[in-house]
Amino acid sequence: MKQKNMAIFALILILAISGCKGSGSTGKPITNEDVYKGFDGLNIGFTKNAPPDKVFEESIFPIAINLKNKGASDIKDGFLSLGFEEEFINFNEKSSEPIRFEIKGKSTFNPNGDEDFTTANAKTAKRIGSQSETHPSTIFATACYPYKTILGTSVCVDPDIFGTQLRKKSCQSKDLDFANGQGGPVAIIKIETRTFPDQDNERVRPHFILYIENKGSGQVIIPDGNKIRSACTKEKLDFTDFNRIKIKATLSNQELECRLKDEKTSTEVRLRDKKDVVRCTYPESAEGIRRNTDAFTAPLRIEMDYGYTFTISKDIIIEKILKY
Amino acid sequence: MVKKVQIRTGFIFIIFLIVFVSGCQTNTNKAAIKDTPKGTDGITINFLANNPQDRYIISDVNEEPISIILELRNKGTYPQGNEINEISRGQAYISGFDANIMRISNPVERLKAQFLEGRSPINPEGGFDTLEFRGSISSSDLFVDKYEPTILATLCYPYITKAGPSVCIDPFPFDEKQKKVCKIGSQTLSSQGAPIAITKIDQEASSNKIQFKISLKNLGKGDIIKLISLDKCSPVAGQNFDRNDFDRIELVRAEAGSSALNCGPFAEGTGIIRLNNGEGFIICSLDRENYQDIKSAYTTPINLEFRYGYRTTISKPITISKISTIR
Repeated sequence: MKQKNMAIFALILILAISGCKGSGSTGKPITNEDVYKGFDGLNIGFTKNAPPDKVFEESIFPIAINLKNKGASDIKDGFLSLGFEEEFINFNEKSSEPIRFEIKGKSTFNPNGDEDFTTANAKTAKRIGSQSETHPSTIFATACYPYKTILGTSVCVDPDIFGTQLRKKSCQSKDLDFANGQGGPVAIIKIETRTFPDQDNERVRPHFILYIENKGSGQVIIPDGNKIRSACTKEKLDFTDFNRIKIKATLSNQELECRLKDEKTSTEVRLRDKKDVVRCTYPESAEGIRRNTDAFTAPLRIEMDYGYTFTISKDIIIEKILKY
Repeated sequence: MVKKVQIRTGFIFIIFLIVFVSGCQTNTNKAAIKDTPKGTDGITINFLANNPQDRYIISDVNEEPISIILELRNKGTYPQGNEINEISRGQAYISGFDANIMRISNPVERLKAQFLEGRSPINPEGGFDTLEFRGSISSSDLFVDKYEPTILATLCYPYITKAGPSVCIDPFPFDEKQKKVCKIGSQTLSSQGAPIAITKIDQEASSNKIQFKISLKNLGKGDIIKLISLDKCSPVAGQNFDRNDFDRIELVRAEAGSSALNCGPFAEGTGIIRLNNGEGFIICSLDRENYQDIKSAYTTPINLEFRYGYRTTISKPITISKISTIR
């Protein structure tokens, strides 16, 4: 009996040990690398049966919207507004103010981003004509939110622009492609690196040509809290409020000049056909990089601030309550 | 009985002794191979394992120390104990990173001549030394989550190639009736324990002189630098190499026996030989007055010595990642 118990114990021990596996080599390091990928920002969608596909006239029905922040930026002061065919549908409550929301984006500790739900009750009116039994209508949901795209990468700064140094270089200046995005609907898809000599020919200034594109289905708006809110209300927006992005670029610890206008602190990018190209240069106010410095790899960080808005819709059918 | 056992034990011991002694063999051949100066390496460099590490994880607040250690081995034959050791003119430096992020206190180090003697019968592996570059990674200046520089280590050092093959000195090269111990011709050499090798010596004789065409080739993986321009190697020197600083070798000595050879052509100044694509040659001649009293052909060593600067580089990509902290 004792021997049998020992044998069972030994068997369990062997199984337990064989099941052990070191996780050190296969585990991914905890960095933010995977977070800044993709072209998603906020995703919204109507939940199942809210609104339902068919509703009766003069009845209250729920509208529930699922919000998922699939990008890498946190959203503060985001707004969600619902739109109806007002003759037939309206809010059950009196308020038609946009719904304010906050939702955190992807991070190392939350790699999928946060998720939220918002609900409202709507009411159908008794408006279907006497000759009709149904009326098709559409419910719109529009999200307006401030967002940020951050690109952090390593670039090669090669001050030897004429190839006269005759040294082996640790890196070569080359164009960088970013096909996978940076975790936001507006993305930098390519960076071209150029280096030009300074006036005194002893120093050089790196230039970066950034190819920016709105890869999402929505519209870019100026990163101004009031304007973002206005996009979700009936307030008027000017055409100049659209397609504007504020950009800030830093090479090593030197802020680059990307400005196109006379603004001092930040610059604006104006998208045309959802695209733009902007040049960021080493500022004139800073000393350039000495020409006889060896080529080196430097960190380049680009931050783009913008507002973003997009709309989803769902078709419903309002049915007349037939009385026989 | 005891005596019998003693005899048997003694007999077994003698057999073991015979087997043991017969297994011994003099190692003179192997030693002789090691003695001959061969190989195409001069001073080689490598990063010491894990210095630098492949990957650094830094937190938002602290500075991370970084240590880059270069392992130097003199696999060539210069300098020997009796030679003037100029290795300390050499230097190593590291580059390729952003100095605002990776703060290395002293990125240039001189070589220590006393540790880098060449291979010799008493030191068959050659000299060995390490150079350490210490510093820190500043997280406060790193604005990206991942920074991927390539650390480049460059070593510049002076070196000497020596060869002493035997050549034939024939005072009557066109006299075919005479029985001779050697004939004027060509000979191929392999390497001399230095990155620049004398690869071939072609001999031609006329009635009043013997000419030697000495071919040189860069068999190492680095670049040849003019010796006087060696200090331009350092990035802190503030000077850049120009094209004329490369592929230049200095002839120090060319002698056949005890007679000096007349050599040329020289590229610039005296004694500077120019190489093209790592290859070049020099023509030296021995005038007849040096051997006119000799009546028959004989062999004599031709002593050749060339000096130059040499540059090699190695690189290692590293990754510096910033780890997020929960606040």
